[in-house]
Order: sequence, then C-alpha cells, then structure tokens
Amino acid sequence: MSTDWNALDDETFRLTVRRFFEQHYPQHLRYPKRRLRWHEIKDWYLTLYRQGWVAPNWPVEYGGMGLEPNKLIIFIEEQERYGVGRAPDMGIVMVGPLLIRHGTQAQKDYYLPKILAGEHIWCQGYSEPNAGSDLASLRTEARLEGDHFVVNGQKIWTTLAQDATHIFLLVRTDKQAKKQEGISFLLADMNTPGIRVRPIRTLAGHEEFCEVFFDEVRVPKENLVGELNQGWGIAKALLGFERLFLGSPKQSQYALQRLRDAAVGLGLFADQGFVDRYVKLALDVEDLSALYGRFVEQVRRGEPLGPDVSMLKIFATETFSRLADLLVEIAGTAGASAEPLPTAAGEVDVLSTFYNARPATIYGGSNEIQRNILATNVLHLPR
Amino acid sequence: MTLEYLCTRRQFDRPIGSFQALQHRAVDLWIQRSLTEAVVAEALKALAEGVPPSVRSRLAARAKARASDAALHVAREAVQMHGAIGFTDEYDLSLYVQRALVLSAWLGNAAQQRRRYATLDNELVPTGER
Ligand SMILES: Cc1cc2nc3c(=O)[nH]c(=O)nc-3n(C[C@H](O)[C@H](O)[C@H](O)COP(=O)(O)OP(=O)(O)OC[C@H]3O[C@@H](n4cnc5c(N)ncnc54)[C@H](O)[C@@H]3O)c2cc1C
Repeated sequence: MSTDWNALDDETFRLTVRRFFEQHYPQHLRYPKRRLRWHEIKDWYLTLYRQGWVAPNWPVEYGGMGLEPNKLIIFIEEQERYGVGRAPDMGIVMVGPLLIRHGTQAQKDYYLPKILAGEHIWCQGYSEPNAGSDLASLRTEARLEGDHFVVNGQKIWTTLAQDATHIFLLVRTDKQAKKQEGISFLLADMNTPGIRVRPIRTLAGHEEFCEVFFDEVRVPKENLVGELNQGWGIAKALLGFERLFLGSPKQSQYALQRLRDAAVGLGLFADQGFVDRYVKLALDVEDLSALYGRFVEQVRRGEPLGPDVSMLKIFATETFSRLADLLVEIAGTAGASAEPLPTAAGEVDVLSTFYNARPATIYGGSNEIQRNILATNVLHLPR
Repeated sequence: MTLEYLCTRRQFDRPIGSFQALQHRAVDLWIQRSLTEAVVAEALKALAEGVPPSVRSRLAARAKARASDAALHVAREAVQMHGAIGFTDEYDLSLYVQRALVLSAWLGNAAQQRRRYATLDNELVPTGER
C-alpha cells in the first residue's frame, strides 16, 4: 500500500491517478452541479479509502498519501479534469491537519482512522448570526463544569451539517479577555443531546448549509484542541491553507471550458466581438494559473504563506465570476432558465455556474475582507 | 510612488490612504502588478528552459498583453489618486504615465496581443469556427 508517490516522476504519477479516476469514479457523478451529499458520494469515498488515497495531503504515517505540494496539485488537477465531485471533506482538509499539528495523542489515535474510513463526517462551526467577517466577536459559549464543557449558542451557514457526525467549533471560554483571546477550539459529536440542526435552502435551491443550535450541550473536556483560550490562533493557522485552496484556478478552468462548449454550440466563435472577450478571460485564467504556481512553489520550498496569498483568492473568484457572467450573457433568454443549454459538446448548465460563482466571493473571508488584509498588511496603508 | 502619496497626503484630518475606497483600488492595482510579475517570470523560465518558437511567441504575446493592460490601469488610477497634482507635467508621475502609454502601444497593445495570442494557440479558439 505505501508506495512512495513522491518518488514517481510527475507524468507517471499523473497518469496513474488519471487512470484510477477513469476506471473507478462513477460516470453519473461527473461534474456535479452542486455539492454532493454524503449518501451520494459515500461509495466513492470508500473506494478512495480502500485505495489508500482518501487523504492525499496527510503524512504517510497517519494513513495519508504524504504528497508533496506539486504532487498534491497534480492530484487535485486530475480530480478536476475528470469532474470528480467533492465529498464532505472537512475531516480530510481541516480536522486531520489540525489534529496532526495540535492534537493530543489520544485525539489522533481516535479520530484520524475514523476520518479516513468515512465513519466520521465533519462540519465546520465557525460562523454565527452576528459573527461573520468579524468572526472573533462570536458568542457561542462553553463553560467548564467538572470534566465537561457546557456549550450554549448558535452556529450558522454550516456546510452539510445535516450529513455530519461531528463538528469542530470555536467557542467563547473567557468573556473578560480581549475578543481574540477568549476563544477555544472544540470537537463535538453531533449526536450529543442538545444539538439541533436546521437546513437552509440556498439561492440555487439546494439544502447545502444549516443552522446548528447548542442548548446545554455537554462536551468532554478532552475534546479541547490545543490550550484553553488559544483557539483563535489555531483557527487562523488553518485559514492560510484554505486561501491557497480557494485560489486554485480549477473552478475558472472548468467554467472556461463550459463557456467554450456553449460558444461552440451557439456559433459564437465566428463573432470577433465575442472572441475578444473570450480570449481576454482565457488569458485571465492562464495568468491566474501562473500566479497560483508561484504560491505553490513557495509552499514547496517550505516557506510559510504570507498575507499576500489573499490576492489569489480575490483574482481566482472574480475571474470565475466574470466567466459566469459572460456565460449567462451569451445564453440569452436561456440564461434565466434552469434548463441546461444543449450544445454539440453536451449540455451546459448556465445557471449553476452563475450560482456557484456567488458564494465564492463571500466564504473563506469575503473579497472585501481580503482587500482589507492586503491594504493593511501588505501595502501598509494607514488604518 | 502612489502608495507613498496615499500615506502622506492628508484630507479630512486623515491620510487619504485610510479611505477604504482608495485602499481596495490600490489593492487591485497591486494584484495586476503581481500577475504581471508571475506571467513574465513564467515566460522567462520557459525561455531559459528552451521551448519551441511557437510557444515562445505565445508566451510573449500573453506577457505583453498583461503588462500593457496593467501598466495603463496603474497609470490611470495613479493620476486619479494623486488628484490635480497627478495631472501636472511637472510632477514625476507624468513621466511614468507617458512611459506607460508608449510602452503599452509599442509592438502591439494589449488588445492586439490578445488577438495575436488567439491566432497562435490552435486550442484556444476552436478551428473551423472562425
Ligand atoms: C456557501 C457558503 C458556505 C459556508 N460554509 C460555512 C461553514 O461550513 N462553516 C462556517 O463556519 N461558515 C460557513 N460560511 C460562512 C462564511 O464564512 C461567512 O458567510 C463569511 O465569513 C461572511 O460572513 P457573513 O455572511 O456574516 O457576512 P458579513 O460579515 O455580514 O458581511 C456582509 C458584507 O459586508 C462586507 N463587509 C463586512 N465587513 C467589512 C469590512 N470591514 N470592510 C468592507 N466590507 C465588509 C462583506 O464583505 C460582505 O460583502 C459559508 C458561507 C457560504 C456562503
């Protein structure tokens, strides 16, 4: 099982991954229009698990593939190329790396294997009704009573909480301290009495995120990650990875492909006006890849990502949004229709591209917040 | 130069660089500059590694398109963020603006480079459709 993937040359590795996806990923789940639910993607998750590929980003000693950044990028690129859907992957993407870095031995031993095996599905409980961009003002509180924390409050916009068995959350454990200094990081079982989940329907019509209510929820003390009141720093360290991930050109590359299919179907490549706009966007996507490649290089050299990685998220999501806009525009009347646009290259779903572009500029730190970060921490403009 | 001005020029009892409307636009200019750097670096790397002439031309067109657009965008916004002083011949910004205009147009401006790129890349614009 423990092949040294990093020892393969890039092309061999790419082809190995590609062949596996082509042979094993279910045809009907390629290029899903929305986030897939656990019951839909579970079989694929378990296929990856059996293959030893479910955690490409984790070190080998914990059951991951231990991919170096360039190999990880190839893995993600091939997933994208084949239209492999994203499983509920908070356990793999966030909880795993978090526990490997800050978890106790007992936490690692208990949680990591269950994440790999798909027994535990995690969701992320950060945002609250009154704590969005200003996350540090969160109010869900946990008070220590004997060997339990008792949690009261509410989380919101929790992606796929209805499918999750566990939630990781930021809670207030010291109301007197400065707002960033009174926050702790907790793990909770969704089956704990007092947790209630209510799904919320999105603009696109899917139940993709939820409200999660906590009413006198007793969480064992050993579910604290890191030290008491140190949760903010831990959460922030995780956001760095998220921003690189959100800045990947893959969404835009995919949208460009859809735009191209639609334009072929509509005969628009005979129209120089369209071609000019299309090429401009295609170059935005190419240049985005170049910028992304620079940050990937930085990670590969083992350098930490600085605040400048925010620019990647801005340019990636806004390029994606411009692509979606042009797609809606060329679709004409069909741009307002839930029906996919039939083209020679297959159906192109215009509206789902448009809908998917909307949250991209909001979550993971809205683009306005990213611009604030860049203005202050990179350009050093006065507050 | 403009960043420095944003930190020193004061209006309404604060440095103008503290206004979010200007901060966000400054960030957008900086992103364009960073993109240009990334594209030029990628092109130079490919040239150093030795790529076929067709790829070379394509990389050059792509880099020139981004650089020309970025330069003009930065130049226009720099004038705006300086206010009236930015519109004077005497102030050094004028040198940069004139230079950006000339270099952007020289050897084909951004729009021309993009059209050239499209003719050089067979994959980009589906053949038989043109
Ligand atoms: C699809 C989706 C999935 C999500 N999944 C999760 C999840 O799984 N777990 C989780 O915890 N959260 C999740 N979120 C929540 C997300 O993190 C928040 O939406 C985000 O932090 C923004 O907070 P908010 O929605 O409260 O907006 P607000 O913070 O209220 O912002 C509203 C508007 O004001 C702007 N704004 C705010 N402050 C400033 C400022 N200082 N300067 C300039 N502009 C400002 C914002 O940019 C935005 O345009 C998800 C969101 C979406 C859309």
